[in-house]
Amino acid sequence: MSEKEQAFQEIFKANSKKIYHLCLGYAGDSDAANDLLQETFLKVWQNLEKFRNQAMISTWIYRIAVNTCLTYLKKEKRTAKDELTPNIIETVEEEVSEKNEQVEILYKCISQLDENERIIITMVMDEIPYPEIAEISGISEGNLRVKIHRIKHKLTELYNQHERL
Amino acid sequence: MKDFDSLVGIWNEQKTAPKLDYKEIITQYKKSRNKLSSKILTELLAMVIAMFVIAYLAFKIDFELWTSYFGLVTIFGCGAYFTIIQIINLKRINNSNTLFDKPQGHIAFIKKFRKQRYTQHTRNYNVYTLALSLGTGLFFIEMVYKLGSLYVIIVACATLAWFAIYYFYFLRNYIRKEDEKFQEMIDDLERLDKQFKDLD
Repeated sequence: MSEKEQAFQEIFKANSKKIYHLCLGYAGDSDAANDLLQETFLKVWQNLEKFRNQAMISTWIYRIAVNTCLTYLKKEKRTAKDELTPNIIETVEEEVSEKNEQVEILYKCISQLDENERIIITMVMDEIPYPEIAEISGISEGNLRVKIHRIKHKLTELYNQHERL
Repeated sequence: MKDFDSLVGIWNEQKTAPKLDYKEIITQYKKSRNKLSSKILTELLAMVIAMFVIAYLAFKIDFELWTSYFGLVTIFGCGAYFTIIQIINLKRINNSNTLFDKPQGHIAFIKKFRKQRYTQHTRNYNVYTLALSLGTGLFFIEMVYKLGSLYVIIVACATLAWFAIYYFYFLRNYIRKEDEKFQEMIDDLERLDKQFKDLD
C-alpha cells in the first residue's frame, strides 16, 4: 500500500462515519448519502496533497462535504422532504427496535428542516465544536449560536409532533 | 415530550454506517479518470479525422468557386470551436477548486458556472448550428455544377430538411428542457444562497 493510500485510509476511518451522518441528514436516504460520501472522499483523495500540512483536516473534509451536499443535483435530492426509504436505517437485527424507530423519526424531522439547518444540526449532534462549525459553514460564531438555538427548538418541536402521531 | 438532549441521546444510539470503504473510492477515482481520458481521446481522434478529411478535400480537390473553400473553412471552424469549448470547460472544472471556499462562495461559483453553461447550450448552439448550415450550404453551390443538379438538389434538400428538423424541433426542445432544468438549479442555488445570507 502506498503512503498516499495509507494516509487516505486513516483519514477515511477517522471521518467517514460523521460525514455519512451529515450526508444522511441532508439527503434523507442512504443511497444518496452513500453517493454524497463517495463524492466527498473522491475530492479528498484528489486533494490529499493539500491536506498534508493542515492542522484541522476534519474541518476541511466537512467543508468539502457541505459544499458537495449543497450543490448536489436536484434529481439526487429525490427524497429530501418526502417519505424516507425503508432502508434508511441499517439494522443489525431483523426487527425494527424502538430505538431504530426513534432514529428514523429523528432523520425524518431533520429532512423537514431547511438545507443549511440540516447541515448545522447534524454537526451539533455529532458534537463538533461551535468554532469549527462556524469555520465550516462560513458564518460568525455569534450568528451560529443564535441559529443553533432556533434549530434545536424547531427540531425538538417537530420530533415531539411526530412522536404524538 | 423530549428535549434536545434526549434527541442527541437517540442520535448517539444510531447504528447507521456507510456502505463504502476507502478502497472503493480509490478504484472509483481511477475508473472515472480513465473513462474521462478515453472520452476526451475519442472526441479528439474523431475531430482529427474530420479535420483531415476537410483538409484533404480543400487541398486535393481543385474547387473552382471560393464558396467551396469558404464553406469548408466554416465547417472546419465549427469543429474547432466545438473541440476548444470542450477543452476549456474541462480545464475550468479541473482548475475551479472552490471546494475549500466558504459555502456561500462555492454556491456563487456554481451559480455562475451553470449560467455560463446555459448560455453555451442555448445561444451559442444556435450560432453553431447556423454557421454549420451556412458552411454546408456554401459547399454545395459548386456541387451543383460538378455533380448535376438533381443529385445535389436531393442531397441539399435532405441536408436542409435535417437542419430544419434539428433547429425547429430538436434544438428548441433541447433549449426548452435545458432552460427548465437550469432555472430549477439556479432557483435552488439562490434559495441556498439566501439561507446562508440570512445568518449574517
